[in-house]
Amino acid sequence: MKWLEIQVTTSQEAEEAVTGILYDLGAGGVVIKNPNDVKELAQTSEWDYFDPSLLEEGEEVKISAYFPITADITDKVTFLKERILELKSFGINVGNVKVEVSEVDEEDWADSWKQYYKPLKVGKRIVIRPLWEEYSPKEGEIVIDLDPGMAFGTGTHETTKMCLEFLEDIIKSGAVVFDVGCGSGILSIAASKLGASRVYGADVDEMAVKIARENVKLNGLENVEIFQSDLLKNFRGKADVIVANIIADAIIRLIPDVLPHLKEEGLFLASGIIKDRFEEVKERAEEFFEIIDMKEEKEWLSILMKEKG
Amino acid sequence: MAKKVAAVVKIQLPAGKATPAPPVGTALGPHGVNIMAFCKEFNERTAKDAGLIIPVVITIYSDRSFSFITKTPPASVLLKKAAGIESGSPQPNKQKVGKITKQQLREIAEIKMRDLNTTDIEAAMRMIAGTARSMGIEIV
Repeated sequence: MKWLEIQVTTSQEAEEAVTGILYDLGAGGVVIKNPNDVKELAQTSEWDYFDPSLLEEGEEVKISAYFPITADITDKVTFLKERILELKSFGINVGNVKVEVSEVDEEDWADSWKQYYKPLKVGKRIVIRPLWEEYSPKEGEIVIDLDPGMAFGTGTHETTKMCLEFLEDIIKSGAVVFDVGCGSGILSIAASKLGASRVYGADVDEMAVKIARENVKLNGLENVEIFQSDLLKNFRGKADVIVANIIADAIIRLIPDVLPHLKEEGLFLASGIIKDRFEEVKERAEEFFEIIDMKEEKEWLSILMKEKG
Repeated sequence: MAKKVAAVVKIQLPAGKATPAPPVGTALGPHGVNIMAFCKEFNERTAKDAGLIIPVVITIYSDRSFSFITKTPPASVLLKKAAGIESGSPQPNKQKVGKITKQQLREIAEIKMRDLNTTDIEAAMRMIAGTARSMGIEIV
């Protein structure tokens, strides 16, 4: 897909007003290059080495917004220019204004991250191999072949890592597993390779469903079924393990529906919970479950639960 | 591993609604950041601010890991909220679309103070007032 980038160069003072105009034009967000933001960050202690070339001189701010290429785009650009020049009459010094328009192609950036995505070992024996990388597995290792595309779940995020570590310990041979909010399908595939007899994975996002299906196929798995579902809505039957690596709000919404889908002695693994929201999730969870184990990495938590006894 | 800063990027996005489309994709993709990981983290951290636009400053390290801080919503967004309007005037000189009081202007200036490069409330108010007028919002 192609987008039109409109980049406005203006003064510090006009940054707020110009972004306001871009929002009125329908921008879904903007990118701002302001040398002062970099200087401000350079004064913090979040880093060990700060490349001096990142510190630019000057006071100019560059603001970029992106629009789908539609018939009225030239009108938008004309309107934008008029409005910016008009800012002077409201007492805003706009500096040396420039408006530049260029086309950007999704393909130019959608795959750039791939060059940094390398085979990754998680837990004791799981290795995630990006499709475009070579990897020779060592004895006992379980390799997951993956092309996450634009779906969540590369294995590099803390929440996914913690789920994989838990799955390594809790999946028993022959288990039935539900993966709610499957994203790239990484956890469904891991569950199958760890010995589950049947895995059902679902996501509300159609694109994720498509990507997960491709990844399941890529790994040659016959016992994993991927479909579309809002949380547990389209799941049938019961599982030994239900895993949900989503976000706190979704987990809170999901909790009351979990028990009817869980076999006796079944386990519920909830992840993607940011620390700030833990108390809320815990309160809801403890109406139905007992927390039996937890993992924590950076600001994320994964919680393993079983039915309250 | 030593944390070496490779890039600093500022984006403004609707709270809880980051997607891999531009501006996120175009801003972070070329730096090798895992775009979906950023979206998930941003959406989760800003879920409580739904309806607002949140600026976020992202620091990308040489190993392509990242961290980010969120800032105060843009003045134009706070002004629209205060005036109870959906968008600014297409002809702010002729057509006024809303009003805010001096007190509301001061409140917005106070919120924005820590992100504007000033410690002077009067200067912050002047800056916000200019933005308000450019949107067709009167200060009464």
